[in-house]
Amino acid sequence: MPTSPFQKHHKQIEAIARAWLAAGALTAGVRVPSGLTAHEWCVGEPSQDTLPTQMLTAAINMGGHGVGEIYVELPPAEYCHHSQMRLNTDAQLITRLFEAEDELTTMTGELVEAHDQLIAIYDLTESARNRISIHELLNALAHVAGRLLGVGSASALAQFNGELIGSHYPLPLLDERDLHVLMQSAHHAGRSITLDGRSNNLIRYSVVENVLVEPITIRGTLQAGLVLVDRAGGFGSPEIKLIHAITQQMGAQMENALLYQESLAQARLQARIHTEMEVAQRVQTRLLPQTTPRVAGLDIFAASRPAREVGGDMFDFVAPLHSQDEIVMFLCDVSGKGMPAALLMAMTRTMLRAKTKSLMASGNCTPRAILADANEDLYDDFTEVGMFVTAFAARYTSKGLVFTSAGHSPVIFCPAGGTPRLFAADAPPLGVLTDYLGFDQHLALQPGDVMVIATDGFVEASSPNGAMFGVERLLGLVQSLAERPAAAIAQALYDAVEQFQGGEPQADDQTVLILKTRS
Amino acid sequence: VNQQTMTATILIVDDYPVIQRTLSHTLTKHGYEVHIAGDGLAALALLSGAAVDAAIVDIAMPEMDGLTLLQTLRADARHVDLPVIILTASGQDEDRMAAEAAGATRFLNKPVSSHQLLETVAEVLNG
Repeated sequence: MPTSPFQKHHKQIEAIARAWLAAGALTAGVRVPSGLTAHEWCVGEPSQDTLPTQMLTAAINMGGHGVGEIYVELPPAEYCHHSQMRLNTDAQLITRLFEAEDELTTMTGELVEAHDQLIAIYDLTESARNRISIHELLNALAHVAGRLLGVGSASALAQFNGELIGSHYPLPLLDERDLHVLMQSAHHAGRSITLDGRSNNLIRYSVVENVLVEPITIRGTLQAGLVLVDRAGGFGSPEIKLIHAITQQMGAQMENALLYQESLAQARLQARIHTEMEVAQRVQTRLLPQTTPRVAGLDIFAASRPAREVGGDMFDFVAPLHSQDEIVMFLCDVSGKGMPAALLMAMTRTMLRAKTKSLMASGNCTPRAILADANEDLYDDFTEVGMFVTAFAARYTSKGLVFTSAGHSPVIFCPAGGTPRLFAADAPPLGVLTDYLGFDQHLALQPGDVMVIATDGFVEASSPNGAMFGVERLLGLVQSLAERPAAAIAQALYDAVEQFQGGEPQADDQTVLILKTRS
Repeated sequence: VNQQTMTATILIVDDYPVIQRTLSHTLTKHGYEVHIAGDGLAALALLSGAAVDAAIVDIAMPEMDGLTLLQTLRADARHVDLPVIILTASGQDEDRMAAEAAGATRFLNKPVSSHQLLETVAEVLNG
């Protein structure tokens, strides 16, 4: 039997009663509405005095209802008009005491509920830790919820890709169709629902007593839920709050699991792409000349640094068999970057090599003829994909250099001890017009002359504050470096542009070809 | 929880009023009679005048700690079989071993859920 408020506050009430006795009362106590005396204290033997005594009472209320009264019996000599006022005040004090106790009991109940919810969430988190599949999480939810509430059956369900998956503890008491309908009903209602098994159509043919269905929404659309069946005593507010708290927590964990699985799939895809790009880069690197050709009277160096794994820049050399005083050189830049540019770069390289060898064999090999022939074959393919390629082609012999530029820049010539100047392109890039409009330019080289042909990845390189490397800076560098060998000039150019970028990622491929006539 | 345990009387021995009140709330809500003592000495005084069916005892308390209380009870023929649940926040294995050595019936770590508390109380009462 629950402790009554009178019993619980026995000490305080006794103190009030004793204060009355000390003030001359014959008896003092409290009693409940039935008239049964809950507590009564009196002094000495019952009075033999024949004088009538004065009995005073005051009601003790809780929530507007009388729960008892306090009374005192006073001899006439002790009675005055303040006695009733004092007794009323004592009754109010006891009323307030009971109300405070009632509030504290309510708060304690809420504290215990919140405490239980926290422990349940902690237990669920512990049991779901390291579980990264939805099915494992459903399993943990069904076990924790089922054991926690001592239900006949707990079913945790989720519907993904049109398929209903679920886990049950210990065994399902409802069939899959009923569980699905219940979960959908809770989602439709947007809140938990409780059902009485004997009165609800959904489960009327089952033998279950009661059901609690808590919906779980993942990412606002995916449906999951927890169905608890047959709890002795049913599902009250504390149980519903508890289940709501742990399903919310589980919903968050399911979202994390989905996110993890998606990240994993994405990472696997990225890894596969990365592997393919690495292979592509190796293939592309092999397409570039692995050694610098030896040509009498000319110091040559070329290098390429792609912005991504593969790029659209290329350089190449073609020399006639058994010849050390003649060479044809190319430096090209396919529009765009990445795999599409790399594919067209490979195609352009093949085309240029084939045309060069064919023209060499016929004895009509000039840079203009090579680019004109190549453009004729490349035009349709480049136009089809909306791309183009800038190309510098040159033929070096003991008589000097002949070159043509299909939209390519910068092409810099720095005479020995002189000031570098920029050659303008003499035709649009390959793949833009059906006919090649460029022409051969002749340059008689003197010992110490330097030519630097680069791609726009150099001049358009950006510093962290957005400034561009620019042609002027490149011209100044070439002049200051002209005394060095070709390889040293190239290295210094790369160092300078890298320093200029200040750690910013390289935005475009950077390719350079250096020619320097030997003294 | 059967009818027999529903009328049982449980002694809560803990110096922390919040624990006293929350444990008492959970137990009385489920039909148990509850007595409360703030430490081991108060518990012994209470046991000398009231019959209880089981005790829930904290370890760290002023005056007399829970392990000393447990040893005292086990040395007393009247309480040698009293089911005692040690409920402590320490979480240390040494405390668990010491409690088991002193004759604890069960050992629980704080925080404990209402469900676990009620389940454990029912178990110790049912032997």
